[in-house]
Order: sequence, then structure tokens, then C-alpha cells
Amino acid sequence: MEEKYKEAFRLHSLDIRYLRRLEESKRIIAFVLKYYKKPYIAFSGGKDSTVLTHLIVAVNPEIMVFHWDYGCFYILEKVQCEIMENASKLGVINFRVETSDLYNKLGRKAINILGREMLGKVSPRLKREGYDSVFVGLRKEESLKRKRRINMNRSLTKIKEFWPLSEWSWLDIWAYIVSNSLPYLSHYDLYGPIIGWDKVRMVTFFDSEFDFLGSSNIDGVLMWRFKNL
Amino acid sequence: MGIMIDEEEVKYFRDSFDKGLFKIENRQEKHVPLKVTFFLGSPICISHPWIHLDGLISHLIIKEILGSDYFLLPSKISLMKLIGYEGKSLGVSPIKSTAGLSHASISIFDEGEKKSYRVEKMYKRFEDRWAVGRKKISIASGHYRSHILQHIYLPSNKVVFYVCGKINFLDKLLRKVIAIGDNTRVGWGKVQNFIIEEINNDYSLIKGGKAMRPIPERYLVEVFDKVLLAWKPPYWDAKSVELCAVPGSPILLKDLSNWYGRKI
Repeated sequence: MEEKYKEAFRLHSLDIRYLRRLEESKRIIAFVLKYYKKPYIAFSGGKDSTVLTHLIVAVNPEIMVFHWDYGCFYILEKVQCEIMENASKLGVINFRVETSDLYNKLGRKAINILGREMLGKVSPRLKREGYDSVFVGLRKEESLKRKRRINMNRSLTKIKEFWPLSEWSWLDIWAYIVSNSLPYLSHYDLYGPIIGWDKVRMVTFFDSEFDFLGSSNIDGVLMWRFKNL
Repeated sequence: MGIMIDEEEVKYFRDSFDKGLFKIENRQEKHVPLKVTFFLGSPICISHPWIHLDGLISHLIIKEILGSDYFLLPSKISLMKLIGYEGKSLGVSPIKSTAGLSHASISIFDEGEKKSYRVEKMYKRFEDRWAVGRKKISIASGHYRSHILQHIYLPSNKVVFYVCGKINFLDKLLRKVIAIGDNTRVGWGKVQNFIIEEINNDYSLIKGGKAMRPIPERYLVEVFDKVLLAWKPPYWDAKSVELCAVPGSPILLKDLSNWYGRKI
């Protein structure tokens, strides 16, 4: 990340509105940790879940951090290694990774595996194991669909979801990352200057499910080594 | 999902292709090392870090052979496969080929001072004027789904290719190029002019010990950086993909032909 951006994000971390949102997030986290028996964190490895994990692990280092692995056809092995390393740097002790064999079997034709396998099978299993709540790094700013879901307080599974970062903006996220010197995935530095630091996201690469967002064309230029597998 | 093509359709395209093939004036010219420079009137839009000249030439030849039938071709299937000519050499390309490898480099962009990729976005949205009488149309999924089209473009003034080929035939074909790159229909990569210069050395495959195009590993003595890449037209076809030396990486090429002469 260029120094001028770092400086801008550092300055934003002094903004009173940012500090208020940070306090509100900490209050939500404290509430869930106090009143729910067995919460866990949904950790994708992206910037939002990095911030969320850092905030929660600081209070409860023992909490289970759950990561869904999309397989080597959608996430570069290098990126997957970075996710693991970053989790370790964030102080995660109880790290759990789940995946589906279908990713290797179907390659890039694996569609909606997350819905079928993660939400349909793994999540009910977590519920049976006693997990009663989950921290998710969803933000209202990301999309209208997410804003509606948060406003309607609608969880995707039977495990109650909490969104401590729901009111945060992209500036808040980067301000927290820069001011706390948190590790973030290297591909943000590749995509950020081109598509904008406000739009850069952690998503699966060359995923036809995201074709309607036009990301495959960008991946074709920036991730060309990973195009043909 | 398979592509359904009628046998009559296949026959139509085969006949059209056979007739068109005779129209191609492939003069008995000598292959010479050339440098082709396109001068651009607008930034170039790309969906891959480089453009292949042999891909562009193949497209122009097919267009020349089929004429207006070119625009009737089914998408997502190779024409040669469709008409049963796959793997056959038609001998109509102006580019020299050694052991199946085209002597044509990838694009070299001149980015000047503004050396950076930029992103352009377009929104493909359903317009209700095309659905008179229908009460509800879902734009969240299905045929009428809204799309964001994102593209990377480069503010390049010129694009250079190195090729070993027939100068007059190439000149005739390249005169028909009005734009290069992706999304030319919306004005990207407009070609203002182009020049073809004869040069002393053939830099189409290798220059200064570095690969100038994707070259399959089997053509190389030594390769330092290899990736799965398409190396022959059609470049969009998964069948053209092989483990290749990355353009710009150091390589040691095998002695491919007598013309190439020397061991590199």
C-alpha cells in the first residue's frame, strides 16, 4: 500500500465517528461473549473478517475461528497459505478449516457449493456441537442485499448471526488495519490501486458465480497465471 | 451444456469455407522478419495481459474466407472442429510456422509515462421498452439479469508485434483492422495507422534470450518460468492450453528447423 493511502487511513483512525463505531462494535462483541455460551467467528481471510477477528480475539483468545476453504481452483494456494499465516498472526489459537471434496471433483464448475455444503451440512453440524452464535464481518455499505439482511436481522442458518461491523465503512476498515498494523492479503495491494481501495474485496478468482460483477475480466489480467488450471 | 448444431448448418459452413479458401491470394512470397507497429487513437482494453498477433491474423483470415457468413458462426466452438478440419494445415497463413509454432510475438505496449492499468465499468441493464405486455421481469437472475461489465484498459499510444511472415499479404490483411483488443465495439483500441518494417533479426520467438510469446515446454531445452497458457489459435479454446514458457522469461529453444539454423 502506498504511503499516502496509509497516511490517509491513519488520519481517519483519529476521526471521532470512527472511534464511536469502534466502541459500538466492542460493545456488541462484549454482549455476545457474555450472553451466548458458544460463539464462533466466520473468518474468510478478507479485510473485514481480519478486523473482526482481531477485535474478538483480543477479548477471548480461545474462541473458535471458522474458515471455509474454497479449494485450489478458486483460491490460489499462495493466498490460502497467507490466510492461515494471517490467522496465526492475529493470535488465533482455535482455528478450524472445513471444505468440500466437490471443489476438487468439479474444479471451476463447482457452483453453489457454499450453500449446499457449508450452510446445508456443516452449519447444522456446528449447531449440534453446541455453537449458538456466530460473528460475521458483514457491512451494510457492501450491498443493498446485505443492508436489508442486517436491517431485517436475518441469519442464514439456525445459528444466530451478529454483525459488529455492520455500520463500518471501507475507510473505517482500512483505518483499523493500518493503525493496528494488521496483516492483510497481498492481492489487495495488486487490486487496490487499480480497482480502488473502496472496492477491493476478497472473493474467489475466476468464479462464474461472480461473472455478473465483471470480476473475471479483471482476474484475467491481474491473475493470468491462475487462469488455466 | 452441449452446443446443438444441425448437420445442414455444418455442411453450409464447410461449403462456404471451401469456396472462400480459393479466394485467398496466398502469393509465393518469402517469409521475412518484420516489426509491426499499430498507432492507437484510443486506449486499449484487455482481458489478458497481452494480445497474440497470430490470433488476430487467424481471425482476419477466417473473416476473409467466410465473408458475411462469419457473423453467423456459432459461438464457443472452434470453426475447424465444427467443419472437421481440426489439425489440418490450410497453408493460407502469412505467418511462418515451425513445427506448429507461429513466428509471431505477443503485443508490446507503449505506455509512456502513464504506465498503469485502469478500470472501466459498464452496466448492462434490462430496458422495459423491449418487453411490452409483460408485467414482471426479474433482473436479479435469469435471462434479464443486470450485469456489471468491468474491463481493464491501458493508455497506450502504440502496440508493437514482431513477426516472421509475408509482408504484402500481412499488409493486405492488417489494412482491415480498425481496432484491436477487447471491447472495440465501444471505441477502445482504435487503430489510426500501422507500419510494417523489415528488420534484420527474427524476434518473433526469442529476443535477448527471452521468450516473446508462450512457447510449449516441449520446444524448449530449458525453461525457467512455466505456466499453463494458450499458445495457438483459437486462444479462447481450452484445447490450445499447454504448459508454456512465460513471455519475457529466459529460455533455451530447441533447434526447431533448418531455417532456424543455429542452436540457441
